[in-house]
Amino acid sequence: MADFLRLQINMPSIKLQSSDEEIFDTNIEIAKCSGTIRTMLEDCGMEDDENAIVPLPNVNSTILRKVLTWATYHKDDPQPTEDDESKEKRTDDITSWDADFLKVDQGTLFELILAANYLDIKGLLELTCKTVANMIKGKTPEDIRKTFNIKKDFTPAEEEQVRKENEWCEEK
Amino acid sequence: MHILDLPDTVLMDIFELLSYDEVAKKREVCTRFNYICQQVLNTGFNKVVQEHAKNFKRIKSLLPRRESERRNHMLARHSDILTSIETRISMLTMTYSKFIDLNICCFIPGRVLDEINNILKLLGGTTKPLRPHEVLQELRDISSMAIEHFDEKIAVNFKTALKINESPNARVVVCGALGDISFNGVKVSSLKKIHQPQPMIQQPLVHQEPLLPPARCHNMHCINDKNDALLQALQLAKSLPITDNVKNSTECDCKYNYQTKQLQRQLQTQKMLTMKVRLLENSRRAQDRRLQEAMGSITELATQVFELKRQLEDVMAKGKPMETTPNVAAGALKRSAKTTDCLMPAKKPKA
Repeated sequence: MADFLRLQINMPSIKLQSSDEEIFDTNIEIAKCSGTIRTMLEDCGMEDDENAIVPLPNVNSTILRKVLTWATYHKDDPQPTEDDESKEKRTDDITSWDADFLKVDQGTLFELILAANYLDIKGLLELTCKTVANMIKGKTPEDIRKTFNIKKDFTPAEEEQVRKENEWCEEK
Repeated sequence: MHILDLPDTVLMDIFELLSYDEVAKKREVCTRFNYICQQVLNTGFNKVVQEHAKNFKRIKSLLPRRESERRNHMLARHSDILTSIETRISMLTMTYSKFIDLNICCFIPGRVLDEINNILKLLGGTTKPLRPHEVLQELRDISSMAIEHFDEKIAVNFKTALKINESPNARVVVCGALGDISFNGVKVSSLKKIHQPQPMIQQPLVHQEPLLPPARCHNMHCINDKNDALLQALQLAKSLPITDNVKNSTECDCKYNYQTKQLQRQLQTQKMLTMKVRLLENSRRAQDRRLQEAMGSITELATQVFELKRQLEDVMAKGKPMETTPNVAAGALKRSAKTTDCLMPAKKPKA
């Protein structure tokens, strides 16, 4: 099937079950990039049990497959550091592999975000958020509404209020 | 799957990746974006305050405690810049925080946050002496612009909104009692004569209007219209019996007399209300003025407190060696005791 399964012969593995009940036999080190799975394994003492099945009711097989592909490629990445303050607001540091990986439709992208959020995979969440941020960046509100198919649901008074509040820095 | 299906926390993460200036502009997309961006801006402001405090603490710890040495230290300009930013932050806090706490607006000027962050980054990245004036120019300009705009254009409406909430009766009754009367078809020519007995009430109103901002004098206009309408009604009631059928003239006269009286009574109450509203408007403006004065003196006091804090720190620096010297005079002892007493409250605002 996918590369990540072939890599893992003779390595301790774990079975992940997606919401549509497909089983993914996964290298335990790769599965552990997910904070949620890591805690589950550590707290439940499932690490030694070869046949344990971890149910992931919030992730379907298509998305889980993508997540695991990403995790396999990034398995040797250094763990992200915890301090948020030193982090800069950068969205232009996406590698070309990641960019290719995320050439998907919007629906899939948002589902990947949800999965990364649920599985607590910092790297993937950051990457997907950056991708969405890049889609928002530098666009006018009207462009954004078009890009994401958002309906303008302001009342005229609300819209006027926001517009007026933002008027302070307009050059006259 | 739609972008608005994402949970708030994730959307906030996404907006955190944009500059605050962009976040502020993206509020115009839809109500959900508006809500998320407001949260991001408010937390952004808190983060900036914390970041500034951290930087200030770090720089202070690097500076010598003796003022004479401190002035010539290469980080002295850093400290000056951070002090100016602190003043800016407290001005911004005074302007926005009340309304943020009441949940009627957010920290609007995202660009100011970006600028403060830029300066803090610059300060963190270099130990070379900087030129405070150059570094702070942009921040001074845009924060003043933001505060001015907010006070003049935005907060005014919030204040009237708050006022209405506080005393709903005063205004609603004025309009409600008379809102159902309309005399659109009446000729205007008949009005002119009737205007003359009314100079007392008309003139002061006309004088006031230019002084009041448009939003405020709306009520006055409303009342003027109502007055006119009533006068027209009176005129109409008087003129009607002449043109009408003469058949039941006595009956009609009775009716019209009654109506005229009623209308006159209404006019009286209307006049009373006008007076009351005008009184309220006046007292409100007086209060506004007093508030503004108070605001000014608060700013002044804040800077004074800051000065005092600095002086106290100097005193502390001088007081310490005194305590350690064994042969201190009684007077000096007293003084050092006093200084330590004073230090207690001085430390509190820092924490």
